[in-house]
Amino acid sequence: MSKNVPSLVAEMVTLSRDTRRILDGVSLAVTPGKFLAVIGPNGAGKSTLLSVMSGLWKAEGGQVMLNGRNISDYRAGERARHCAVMRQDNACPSGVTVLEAVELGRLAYGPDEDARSLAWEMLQRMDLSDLAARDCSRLSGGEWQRVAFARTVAQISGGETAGLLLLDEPVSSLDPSHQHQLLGEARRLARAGHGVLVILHDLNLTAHYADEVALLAAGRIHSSGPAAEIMQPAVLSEIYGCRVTEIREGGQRALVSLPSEKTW
Amino acid sequence: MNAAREDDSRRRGRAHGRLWFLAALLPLVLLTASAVGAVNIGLADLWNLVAAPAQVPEIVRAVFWEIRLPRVMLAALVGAALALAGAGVQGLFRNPLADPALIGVSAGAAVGAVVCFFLGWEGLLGGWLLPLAAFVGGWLAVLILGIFNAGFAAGGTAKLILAGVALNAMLGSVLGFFLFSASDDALRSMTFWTLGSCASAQWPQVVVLLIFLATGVILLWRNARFLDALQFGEEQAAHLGVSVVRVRREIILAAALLVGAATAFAGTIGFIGLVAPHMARLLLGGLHRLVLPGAVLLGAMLLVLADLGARTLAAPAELAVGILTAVIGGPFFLALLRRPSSWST
Repeated sequence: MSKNVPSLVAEMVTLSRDTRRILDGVSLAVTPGKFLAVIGPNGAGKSTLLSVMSGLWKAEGGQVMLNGRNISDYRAGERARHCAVMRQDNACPSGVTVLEAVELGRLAYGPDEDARSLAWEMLQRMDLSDLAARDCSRLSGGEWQRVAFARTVAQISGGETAGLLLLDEPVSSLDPSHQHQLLGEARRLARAGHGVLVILHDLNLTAHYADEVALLAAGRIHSSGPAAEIMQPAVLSEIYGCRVTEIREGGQRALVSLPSEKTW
Repeated sequence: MNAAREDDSRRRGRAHGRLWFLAALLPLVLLTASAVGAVNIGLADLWNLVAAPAQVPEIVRAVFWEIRLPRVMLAALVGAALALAGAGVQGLFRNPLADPALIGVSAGAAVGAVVCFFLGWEGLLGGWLLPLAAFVGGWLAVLILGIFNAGFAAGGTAKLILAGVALNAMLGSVLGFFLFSASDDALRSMTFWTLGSCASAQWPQVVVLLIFLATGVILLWRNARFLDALQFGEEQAAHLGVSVVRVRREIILAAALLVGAATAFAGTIGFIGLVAPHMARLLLGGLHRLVLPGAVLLGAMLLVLADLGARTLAAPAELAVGILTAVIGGPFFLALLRRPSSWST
């Protein structure tokens, strides 16, 4: 589907707030076709990295390149056509229906296009058609998260060009089955040529869906590479400070976290 | 799926139908308010005023064209301006309590006008110095707020609201000082002005206000979709393609123009800017392409009716219209608070 090859690259990005260094020389590339997961403990700088890589905050050191051009040179509308972001603090509006919320994903495109048809298509694909006319303020937390995801996907769909999808903990409020639905859709989008970066906390889901993993700790990339390499119980146990073990079931591998011995 | 689509288009149709109903209601309200008053004008005379003016007694003609109609039009435009500014500011701040007064423009305008009264200058420049002073006062307040918020670029809206509260408190004490030190006569006109009134309406003011309203309508309309996106939060809106700082500046500029002009001619009138946008949302949903025109129509009608009450309820005496808008607006606002989750934060 894609004639272009979307790319988003952070080069030695540094950012401080007050005297605390939140990001310390982070380099990371979102590759089209790959599902990249960013994991790491609370306060490691994951959401900050997302804000910098999406051009919302300017890096103090280093730079972020979107399709070969410095991201701070983009206007908001143009940037939004290349790069769709679902934030964690994405507020749920009132007086706006699910369909209208998804239509707003096409804000950066002209008024001429048929945003409504595309929004319907998204709702159908995410199994949300029944909620189309519901006021967003009447949704459960998990339903809203799925609607916000549909809106984010709508932002980079509908054209010939592939885009970038940055998701900050998109499954935090979802039940297991919808977690798989959403991440499966994200992986499908990656396979279709989009660049996908997802911040995740669930190690098992990360191991299952990610092609590549970047492990962020204390503002630095601790390690990054193919998921199978990075998602090692020993490394994860050390970084998170709890026991991570591996379970094998019918050829599939699952990662499970347990309290560290000390708490027993 | 098809049922859901039909449901959706029916719902949209209903909202548009309601907006058209409000649009049709406005001329009726304007006509009624123009007919009722110290001199009542019958239906036949009302028709003849346009169709056959010679058949209408001269006194009725004079009352209608020189007194009644400019006043009704001024009330409609002031109400529309306040409501439109309120809809914009509430959308920008994502806060149901946001009122154009929050950005200090009404308090600043009140100080400007009261200083004018205090110095006995209200009659200068053919009576135009008073609205000018109010307008300048309002703008100075917004300017001060802008300076403390780095040109409305940094710090987010929460800080802006807090700074607005502080500024309002300071301007309130300045206002209090002038009221305290004024002579009895000046005090009376100051009080009347700070409670709001459309009594001094004349055609030139109507024309000036119409220009300001048109400017505000253009500024807000071109940001209507951006206001929708801002309901997801400022950062998320930025990711959707909204230039948040530019939109924030334009909304504040529009609100300052609208409220500054409205306050300059009619004094400080509360609650219209708060209540009319809320009513529009209840009737039409939350999308600003419906809320903005809905608020304009509702604000116009509300203030025309409140002004009708102000000049007829205690006739021949005249009430300050601000008293009536607060009497209607207060209970309405309390009723809104009883509604569960009428606005999520």
